Amino acid sequence: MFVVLVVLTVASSWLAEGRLDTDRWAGALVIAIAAVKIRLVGRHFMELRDAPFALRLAFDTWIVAVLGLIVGFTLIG
Amino acid sequence: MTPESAPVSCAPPVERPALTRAIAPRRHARSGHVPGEAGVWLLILGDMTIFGVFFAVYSHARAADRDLFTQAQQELSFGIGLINTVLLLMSSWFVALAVKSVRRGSPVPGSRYFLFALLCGLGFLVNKVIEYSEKLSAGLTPMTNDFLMYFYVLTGIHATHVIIGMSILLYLWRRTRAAVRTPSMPVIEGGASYWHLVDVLWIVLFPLLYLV
Repeated sequence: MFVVLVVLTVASSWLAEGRLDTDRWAGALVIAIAAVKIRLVGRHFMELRDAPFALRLAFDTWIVAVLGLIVGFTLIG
Repeated sequence: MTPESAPVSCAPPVERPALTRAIAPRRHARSGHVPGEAGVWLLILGDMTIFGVFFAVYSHARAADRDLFTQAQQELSFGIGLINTVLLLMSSWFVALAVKSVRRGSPVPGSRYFLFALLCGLGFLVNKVIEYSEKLSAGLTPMTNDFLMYFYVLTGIHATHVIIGMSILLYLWRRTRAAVRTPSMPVIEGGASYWHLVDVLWIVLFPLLYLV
């Protein structure tokens, strides 16, 4: 799992390199990759896989809401 | 009515040995197992919400002044940010290993994972000090522009969380080393969850500030 997370990190860094001001969709994708990483950390490291539904829902809702907002602002800015 | 057509009765669930019940979380479809205690999770979710607001405010500010933010972003040390991300991911992995080790009934060997995680956190803070001093000595202060203000405030508040998390890891390391007074699983899981929160917040902060 650690290797997966590092690969995702490096991939998103590569994606963003040199594209800071030219490609908003690359930025949005980088944030989406972050969302995937957070979900992986939540489910595997934080052991939310086995958690009550309400807790898993709260965590996933945060991911969607916050990273969705960030992506939204990234695209419209 | 023949025995074959009689309703099949399900055998009662196999009773797990007491030790296994005590150390392994039960997987209930409906109730589930809270890693730690509900109170800790209220704190964690509350903290996540506050940071969520910070992230949204920053993103809005950046959308309003994209050129300034993009330009100012060039001053950041991408390398330090990336190393810090890998350090925190590694530390979360170590903490997860430590928790599993304690749950299996091996707190003393598991304690070294808390130590490794602690060292990763220390590496993060050392990098942070290097990064801040580089910037400050180059005249890049929180007052220089809006981007840098957000940068220092967001990473500063996060660093405070890292320090708190490290105190928790230090406590967990010392208590699991001394196997006589190993903390209960809820305490260990709760402390571990707080550390993972620190990692999760940085997973957003790194791309938010350094990449996009």
